[in-house]
Amino acid sequence: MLELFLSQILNGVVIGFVYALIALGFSLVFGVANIINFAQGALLMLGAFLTFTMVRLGAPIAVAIPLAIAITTATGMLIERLALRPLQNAPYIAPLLSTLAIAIIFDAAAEMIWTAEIQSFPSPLSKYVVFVGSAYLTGVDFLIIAVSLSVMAGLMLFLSRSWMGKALRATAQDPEAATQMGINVPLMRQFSFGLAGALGALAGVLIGMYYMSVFPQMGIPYGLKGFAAALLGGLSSIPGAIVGGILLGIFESLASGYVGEGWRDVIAFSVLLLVLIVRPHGLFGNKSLDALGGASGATGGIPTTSVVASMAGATGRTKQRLIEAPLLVLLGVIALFALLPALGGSNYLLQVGTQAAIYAVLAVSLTLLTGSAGIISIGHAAFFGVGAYAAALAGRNWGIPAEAAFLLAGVAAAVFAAVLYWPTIRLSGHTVGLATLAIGQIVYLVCLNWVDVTRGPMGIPGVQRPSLLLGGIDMKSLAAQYWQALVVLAIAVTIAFAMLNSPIGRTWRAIREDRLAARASGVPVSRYLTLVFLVSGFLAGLAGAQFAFLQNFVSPESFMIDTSIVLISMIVLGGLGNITGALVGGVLLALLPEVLREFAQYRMLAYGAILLLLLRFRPQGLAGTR
Amino acid sequence: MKRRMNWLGRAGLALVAAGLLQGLAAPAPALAQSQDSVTFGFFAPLTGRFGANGERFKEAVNLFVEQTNAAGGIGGKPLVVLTEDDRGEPMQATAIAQKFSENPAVVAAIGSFTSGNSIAAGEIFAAAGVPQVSPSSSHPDYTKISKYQFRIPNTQDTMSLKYVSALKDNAPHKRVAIIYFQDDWGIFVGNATKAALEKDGSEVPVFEAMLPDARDFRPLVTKLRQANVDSILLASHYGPSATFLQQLRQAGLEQTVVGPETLYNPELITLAGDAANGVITTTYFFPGDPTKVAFVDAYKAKYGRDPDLWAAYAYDAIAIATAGAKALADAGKPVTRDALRDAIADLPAYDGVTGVTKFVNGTPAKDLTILKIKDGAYTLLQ
Repeated sequence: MLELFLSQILNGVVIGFVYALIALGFSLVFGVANIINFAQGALLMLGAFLTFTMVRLGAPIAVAIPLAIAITTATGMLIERLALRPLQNAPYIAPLLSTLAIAIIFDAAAEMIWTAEIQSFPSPLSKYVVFVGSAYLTGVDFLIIAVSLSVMAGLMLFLSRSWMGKALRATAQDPEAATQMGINVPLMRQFSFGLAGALGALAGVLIGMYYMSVFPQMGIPYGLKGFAAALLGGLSSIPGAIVGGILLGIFESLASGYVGEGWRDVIAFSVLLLVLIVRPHGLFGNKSLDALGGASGATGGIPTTSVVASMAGATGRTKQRLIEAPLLVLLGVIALFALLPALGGSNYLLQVGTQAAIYAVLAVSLTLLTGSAGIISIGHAAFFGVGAYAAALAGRNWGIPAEAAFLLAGVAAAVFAAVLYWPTIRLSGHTVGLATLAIGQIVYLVCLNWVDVTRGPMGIPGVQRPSLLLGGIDMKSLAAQYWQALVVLAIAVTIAFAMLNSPIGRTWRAIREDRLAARASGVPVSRYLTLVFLVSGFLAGLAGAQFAFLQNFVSPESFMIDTSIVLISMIVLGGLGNITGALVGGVLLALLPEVLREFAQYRMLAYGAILLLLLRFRPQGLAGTR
Repeated sequence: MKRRMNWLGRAGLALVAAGLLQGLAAPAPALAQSQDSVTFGFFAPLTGRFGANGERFKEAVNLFVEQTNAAGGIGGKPLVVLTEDDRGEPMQATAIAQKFSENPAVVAAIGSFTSGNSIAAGEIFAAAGVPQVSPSSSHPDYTKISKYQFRIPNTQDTMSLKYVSALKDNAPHKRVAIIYFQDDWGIFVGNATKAALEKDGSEVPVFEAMLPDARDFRPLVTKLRQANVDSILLASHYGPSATFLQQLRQAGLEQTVVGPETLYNPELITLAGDAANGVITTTYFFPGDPTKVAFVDAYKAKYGRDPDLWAAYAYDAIAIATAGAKALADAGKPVTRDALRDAIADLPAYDGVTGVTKFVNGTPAKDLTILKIKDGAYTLLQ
């Protein structure tokens, strides 16, 4: 038994070093530029595929790897120059989304260039195998361990001894002061992205060798694990990244060995969440800068923890025009849309229109949470999913009327949101984003694995569209569903509008702008945050129920991280904390894939490019940030 | 300024909304509207996680359309196929289903790859009365939606029994490990094969799921080593299976691995190399089969490689829908949705590239070919 345990630990250490290498890239960029780089996974994929291509074209692997690393380094620097530097004065959340847009573009482009298929990767060292207990090590494992350790040692020496390294650290600590000392801060940021690119490429090549294969969608799963490892270690700490990676590997391996292979990710992410609750700054992180409102506060601007304030401290709201329609206008527009079936709108239009309404409800729900209260939520699809499953299961088992199903779905999602997001109250800045990402992933994986309740990946087919209790109106037709979705949207808008324009909304914004000051002024912060979790969760649950009734079929793949990412793009596109903005962003992005459908394979590419350009030229969103 | 949207803003918003609706409402291409052709809607995940499978579908469909039209089409009318990408997302699948359903020219739908998307779209096709032929969905619920659903493979319950008998005929089976992919298909096959094995007196000491993005199977391999199993039933897709096989053989475990038709893919051998040798799989289609040479040669000439099972599935799916349309055309009847549904259901046994298809409630009952990988190539075992 002990042998089995130790073997599983060893298995975990090996994969852990792979995670560590990915985590190093995140940590470096986060430390220096204070940006969570979603494109890290894409850089990893790029490095691996460049090597693959060169080897296939006949280059020896010893030439291909350095060349691939060099190209990826240049790409990393180019990303900084084109997608991030122009966003210096944009809201805090904009660079995060900009890297996300880059990741989408890279993934889509890679699928077009290299096809979506898995490809075999040269791995000369994997034929050497050493057995240790019930586990084994290959030549590649030794290579991975040696490379990770030497990269870590090299990085630490570089950061502590060289002038360049010291300049990087100075930039990380206080960009303003560093500038005054004659350090070229933008160059340093660019340099950190280049380094992250090199590390990403290296990790990609090693992963390719480890699995003897590469595939274009590899960026997201490994990127997620790298995130989790970095977060566990404390984000900006180099040894933390290594320890975090190894620990994550061990947790996973033990989970797989003792609980079941299917539950390994659930357990890995749950442990991450637990660490965040007990030690919000990770194992090796420091919180010295946080009292000043994070690194952005240290730049000399007004100290703030706000997601809508820029890196330079300027709040995006000071110099913009806000477009915000009065409630009656919003309801009037919704009422106008209700005429669509009468004007001979086709079923396709109604289907897409209902989907757009569902997304609009979700965007309103998220803009309360992320826009107004400043809790970056990259796991919002979880509550959408809880609502959908609640409505589907209730309909299947009890056949309750529509009103009851909606109420049940809303309440279930509200409770889940309040309970699951409760640990995030103690977190700050981008850490919240990562924690919510983990929560979203946990809920998705539970839906996938808890077959007894959710039927797992088989989904729940044949969900009936219940009639209204009120007057017993039959809601089976698509037009009826469309109207029902519009009514749900109208209710969501009214609730959100009432709250945002009341003292509650003002308090949420106060908490977003400066939690410390809000607290000092006597605002019961956690009570207000719990309230926003409940309200936001409730609205997401309503959207979920409408989704279940529209689709007649609920399955976990609708509630993956992709959906959460689309939602956050919607509210940023529209303008944070702004209901009009959320509606515009929600409807536009929901319709975009349909309008771009003609271009089939270029769709995701265009989607990423549009997001990137919008962030670049109108980072406060179409309607402005409130 | 706050809380107020000026008239310009309002007008702008209205314009944007109107523009979008205009774009959505744009009429389908003129050709599709005319009755001078027979139009099918084809949808599959052409990008995303299942993009590789969807692409094979598309290649086979395009090949078939080309061949059919070169041979004079359907009763003199050309066959037209509208292609849509559902990315493997149910929401995309339902929107596509509505789009096809309300295009009066579309008389049948071919798709999708995953059972989840086929079912989500199937509800809409059933309501609109569009016959739907899914190339690969084997979920039992799929054909229960309505009489408009057809599929090319057997249902998973029939298939699972066949996998078990393939295992029992070819490998020691006192203690069998079952490893299944965590999707609708994998879970079903995992549970059904477990039940069948246990009923016949085999033990199943290891019963584990493979998550969609998992690539690190060493903890699982360590477990397998400890459990001392005689053979392994691997119900997973070829990509992760290749990685699993490599890690299994690296660890020095030599048990026979038996898998369903998902392991029948030349890519498995490319990816896993020597680790693939000895794997036993079942399939409906094998390009080495001399009776399928016409399809294999035509596919190879057009795309430069052997067709795989997915290509064969899609080829039969559209061929059967076309056979239905041809039967109507030959009888001098117009090709309408309902007529086509009945024609497909009443087709005589269709001898296609995946075997003989004769629908009973939308599902065929086919025989399987059993293959073994020897020296880096699939060879016929039975």
